[in-house]
Amino acid sequence: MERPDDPADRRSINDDLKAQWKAKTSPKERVRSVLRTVYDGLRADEIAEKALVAESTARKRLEQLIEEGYVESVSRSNSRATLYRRSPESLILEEAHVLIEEHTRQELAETVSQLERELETFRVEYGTDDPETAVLSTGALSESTGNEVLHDWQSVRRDLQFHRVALAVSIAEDDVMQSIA
Amino acid sequence: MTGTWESHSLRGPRDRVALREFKTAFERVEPLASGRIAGVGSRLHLELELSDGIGSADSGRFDVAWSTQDDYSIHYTCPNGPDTRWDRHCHEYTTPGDDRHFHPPPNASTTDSDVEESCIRVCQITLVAMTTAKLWRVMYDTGDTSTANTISNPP
Repeated sequence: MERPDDPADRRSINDDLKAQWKAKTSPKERVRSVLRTVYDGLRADEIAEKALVAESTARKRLEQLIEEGYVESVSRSNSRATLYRRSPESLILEEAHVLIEEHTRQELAETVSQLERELETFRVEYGTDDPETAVLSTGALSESTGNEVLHDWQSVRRDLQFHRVALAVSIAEDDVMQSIA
Repeated sequence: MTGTWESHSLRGPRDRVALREFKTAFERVEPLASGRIAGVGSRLHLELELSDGIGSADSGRFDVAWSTQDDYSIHYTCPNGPDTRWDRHCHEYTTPGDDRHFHPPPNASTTDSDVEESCIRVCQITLVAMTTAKLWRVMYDTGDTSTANTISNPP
């Protein structure tokens, strides 16, 4: 998987760091690290290349990660190959867990309210719940402004979901434990 | 704090998961760095504080924005010191032809003729973080920011 040095016989920082990453982590860690943010789906050979492992190693680790619920396989109508991506459920629960660790319930509730208000502002301004529709149908926006609105709106929507789940899990945990006590 | 970098054209929403991955990788290789995730929604970013600065500066900071489609903005600032930025997103500068570009010090120039191709060619978050840490470490050790976008070591 190693790339040869470039023709000028100078070792690039990028290649040095690939070697360093490889030396300091196990193949399993690297496959997991790559999959952590694969949202659209990649083929096993693409994952192998990114994780600096052999394809057979990637396939073995992918099976384990599917078993753990960390990864799921998906198929696309336009591709015969199996694609792998981060399991949305594992992603959402992991993010909720981190937010609960780092914030009080009061803070989570305030952030949910704040992001809901921001989302409402977009909805009122553009007359739709869907950022993609708003940007495509609003001829008045320049391309760069449209991209900025889309990015901000999508960011608010995504982060709101993580905070909502964190708040719900935090409340549910207490109620469940109280009912046992 | 926010608004100090052009974040408007990242494709896809901002990604907490990627920021944590970046923080972990950067802190693992750079002992002077300490990061925290700051802001929510469209202001979500990673602040990586460096407990010493380049040259005469006695501290420094990276502000990192990262999207689910692996667009990013990595902005380094320090008090009275150099300001520089490595980005990956669509842009309208004449060069480079691809999305990965560099805004040179001392002021992270956005003048068209100043913007260059970025030396960060890796894509994996961990590797981008390690490359950034390495670029910072070289500047820190030499006190010279002219290597901020330099890909190669002498043999």
